[in-house]
Amino acid sequence: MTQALIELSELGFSWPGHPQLLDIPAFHLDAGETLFLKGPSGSGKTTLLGLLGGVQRPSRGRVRLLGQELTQLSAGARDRFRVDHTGYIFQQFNLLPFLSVRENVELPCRFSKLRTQRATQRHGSVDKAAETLLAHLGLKDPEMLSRRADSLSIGQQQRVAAARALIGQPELVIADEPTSALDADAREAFIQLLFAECREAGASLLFVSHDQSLAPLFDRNLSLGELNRAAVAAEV
Amino acid sequence: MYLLRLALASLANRRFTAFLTAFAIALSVCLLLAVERVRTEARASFASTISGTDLIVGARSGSVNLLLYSVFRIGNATNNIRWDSFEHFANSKQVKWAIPISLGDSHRGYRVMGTNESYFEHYQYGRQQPLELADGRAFATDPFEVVLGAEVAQALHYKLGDKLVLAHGVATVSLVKHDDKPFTVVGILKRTGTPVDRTLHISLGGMEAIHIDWHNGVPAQGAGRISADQARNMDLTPTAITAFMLGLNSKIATFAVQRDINEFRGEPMLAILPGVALQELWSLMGTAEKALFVISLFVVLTGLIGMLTAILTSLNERRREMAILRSVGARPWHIASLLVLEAFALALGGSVCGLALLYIGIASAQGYVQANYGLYLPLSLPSTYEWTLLAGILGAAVLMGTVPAWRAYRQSLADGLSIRL
Repeated sequence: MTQALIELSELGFSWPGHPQLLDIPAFHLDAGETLFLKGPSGSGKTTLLGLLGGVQRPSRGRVRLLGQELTQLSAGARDRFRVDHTGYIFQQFNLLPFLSVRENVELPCRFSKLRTQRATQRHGSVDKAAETLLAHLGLKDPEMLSRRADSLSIGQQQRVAAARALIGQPELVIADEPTSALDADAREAFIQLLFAECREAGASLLFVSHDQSLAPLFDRNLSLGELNRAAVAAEV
Repeated sequence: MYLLRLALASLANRRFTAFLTAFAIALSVCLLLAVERVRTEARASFASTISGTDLIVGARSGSVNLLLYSVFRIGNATNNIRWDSFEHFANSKQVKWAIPISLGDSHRGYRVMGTNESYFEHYQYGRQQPLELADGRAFATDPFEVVLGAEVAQALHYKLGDKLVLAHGVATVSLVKHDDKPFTVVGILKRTGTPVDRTLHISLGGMEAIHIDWHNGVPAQGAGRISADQARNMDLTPTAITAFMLGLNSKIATFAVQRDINEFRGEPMLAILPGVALQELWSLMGTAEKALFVISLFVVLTGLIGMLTAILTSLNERRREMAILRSVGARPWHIASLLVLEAFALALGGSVCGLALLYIGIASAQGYVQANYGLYLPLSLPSTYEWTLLAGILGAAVLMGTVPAWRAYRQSLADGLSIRL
């Protein structure tokens, strides 16, 4: 049996002074798996991602990433652990507009020795890694690398964000509605590229979206509403 | 170091605000340094107005008053002293040289000073520098010769051989002129940066000659008038002078001579030590100078608060930037240092521009300031004290940077990786 990459058990979370938002008895994501997690806005999706990133601490229960209990780490160690093992792609405006495309892609390596090391091992240098990833994602023009990130189209920006999430081979890529700003054709193409790159890097993909039409493309799909007992209770 | 790169790139992204902020700091830094430099130079030039003179003697009044009219050509003497009193001390064994001074007339706002050749020989300013002639010679036996200070010659465009008429009294607008006895310019002194530049020097004989037919402060009328040629043939030894300066053979004798003069039975006189009186005078003006310095410190503070405001207002619109940085692994203290670095970069940029402005300002105003205020502003590298001031400004900026840093730190902890749109 493959080792679970993410493992949640008896997880509960509530913001201070609010009713319980998340109550997840069990959840796991296997290594190399791609998972579609359907979550309408307000379902606690962002909070769940915060918990997985170690930015928030659960009120109770356990969050394990690569077998490491996140709640046992200090805040600084959680930050380091996150950047070492997780790449993020967000909805839109993922990039620092004032940096070049290349610098944006290389950002995680600036903060993580492990990812610099892996990128260097695999591609020879961080620069090479960025170029290769961007080329795989269809951004082949070398001139584009030195352009300001905000001079790119939204679709191109999302691909740059994907390259940034994948550089230095983190074990987990978390994508939070990365396709919502793209049109239908671009959406599927983007996801296929993302799959291919995740597969190549051996990364698991946790894809959160409310767009059910994408779900069939994934190994597995789940709905946060079903997963979360707190949501069920609220509906009843 | 990568953080610095990020901070600078982020600032460059907001270059207009950043430029204005840095410019405000630059102006305030420039003002502070300019005030500081003028202050230092004013003090130095003030202290070097007169040197090498051991005692200044005048009719009994206050020491500051005596210093003001005898050296700075400001204000008036309360009384004259008799010529024989001057001779009494000038011929004393302890006295090496004596310069008599006779004041009271003016020429187009510049004071006229009657003196003798020992003035050109013994008067010293700055670091014991003697007076030097730029052109011509000192006045000689003819009583109607005048030697101009550098500024007088420059401002009024006089050259050797020009004739000029002195006015009675020291008011800028003179009603009574000595127009029957014009003077000829025979010499122009080199610039000294002291009140000497703003003085017209004539001989005591000349001073006596223009007043020879005056009685009770008004010129004689009709037959009572004495022409310049007649005056030349008369005895022009003055009966009274305004003040005199003494150089002594031995500095040790200074206090003894001072006591002798102050206790002189012939008439009430006052002898002062120029250095002590200068100190006294400076302590009076020092308050204004300190006030100016404090004001410019507050201007710098205003500049820095402007920076603080600019950074704080930018924080909200930069939450996304912070969240992205957090998602790629920046820890909250990275975010905080980013803002401190930003404040530092703004203040550093501002200080460098401020220094540049200062030097441009000095370079362009140097001549004007020297000509009009007798103040020489050197284009020298910042002094240790000025470096300390600059370091203080940078330190204050970093300290202020901790305020937005702390807010961003809290914000980035609360926002986490994503911010709600």
